[in-house]
Amino acid sequence: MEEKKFHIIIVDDTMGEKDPFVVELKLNYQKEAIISYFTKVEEALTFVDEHMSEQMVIIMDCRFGSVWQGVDAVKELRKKTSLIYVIMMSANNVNQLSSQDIMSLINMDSIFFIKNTDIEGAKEKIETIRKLWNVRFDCVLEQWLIRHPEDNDKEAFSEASTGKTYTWADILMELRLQTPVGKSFEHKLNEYYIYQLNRSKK
Amino acid sequence: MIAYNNNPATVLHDFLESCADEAKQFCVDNGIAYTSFCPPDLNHQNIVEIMPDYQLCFLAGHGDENGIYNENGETVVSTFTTNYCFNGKGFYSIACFCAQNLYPHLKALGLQFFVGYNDTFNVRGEREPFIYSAMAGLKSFLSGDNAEIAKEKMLATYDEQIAALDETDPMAAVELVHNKEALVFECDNGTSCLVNLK
Repeated sequence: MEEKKFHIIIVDDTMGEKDPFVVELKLNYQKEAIISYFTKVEEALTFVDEHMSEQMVIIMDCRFGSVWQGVDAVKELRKKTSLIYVIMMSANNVNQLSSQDIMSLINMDSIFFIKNTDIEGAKEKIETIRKLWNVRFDCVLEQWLIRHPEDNDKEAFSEASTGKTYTWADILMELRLQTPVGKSFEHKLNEYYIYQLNRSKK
Repeated sequence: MIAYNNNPATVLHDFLESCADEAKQFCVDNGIAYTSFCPPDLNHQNIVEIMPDYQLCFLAGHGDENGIYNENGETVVSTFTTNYCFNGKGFYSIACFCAQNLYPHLKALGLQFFVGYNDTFNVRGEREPFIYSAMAGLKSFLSGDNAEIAKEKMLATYDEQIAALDETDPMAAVELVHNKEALVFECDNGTSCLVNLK
């Protein structure tokens, strides 16, 4: 199993695919990432829906000409998952955003903010996000399954109430989709690690 | 008073019945009289009528934050039922979540001690480790230990069973650690209360 590429999704209705910002990111991350560019928020969200179980960074413009605004799109995304990191970008100063939009952004998880010409800022934020991925349970599990592909189809968990069994690959999907099964599994495993580490010190 | 849901259509009915069987055996071993209710007689009315004659209610069934339910999803004991009969009594439950709201509700009505869970109660693989752990506190109580000792013995049993499962079924050990951490074992008079069951 090969190292899986992560997604960088750029959503902006004015920049264009030839913009230095997009080109630079493509050049810089061509080995590690699949870079997609969307001019419409709706199309970007559809793409995100279809790849929800994969690692993603969304670079989203704050302002669009359509009915969808960047902040609205992120709100919509947060209804589905809090695991996807979003870098909001704007040509304007933050204080030109409405106070309602600023409050919404501050109150959402995993949001970063850059100026829309700030290529170095974007790269820096992407690297920060990749470091965060390193310690997150779903990402550690994904890396594990890449190193130990024989574990993918092993049973990880069976739900007592339904008898449904989940393989480790299924669990990775449940974690990424932030389902009750995924959240509960992560919670229980963390509890177990803490219990075992404390017990081993007795 | 031993109540449990062993309706064949109920998920984990075999586990719930096994726990109740253990409770009955503990009573027999210690010469303690008991009455038991299971479907189709598992309902709030039957429990309310008989509780004044008993010191302890053991209830094994499916629960949520507010209560524990029978095979038809009807309330057996909940925050929405009249529960004055639990004043001065003990309540030992094996049910998900009921320690969240049901315990404070019963405590406000004068419940002397409570054993239950504030999150999901999970079972995986072999039933015995889960039964031994969940029933250890009751076994201790019925043999005459006070709450402090019963709680210690119950937690120790959980640790022993987790250690054993670590060797045979680690994912079951994960579930048992979760049950242990969700356990709420509280006594109104600190942990020194001793219920006179005979």
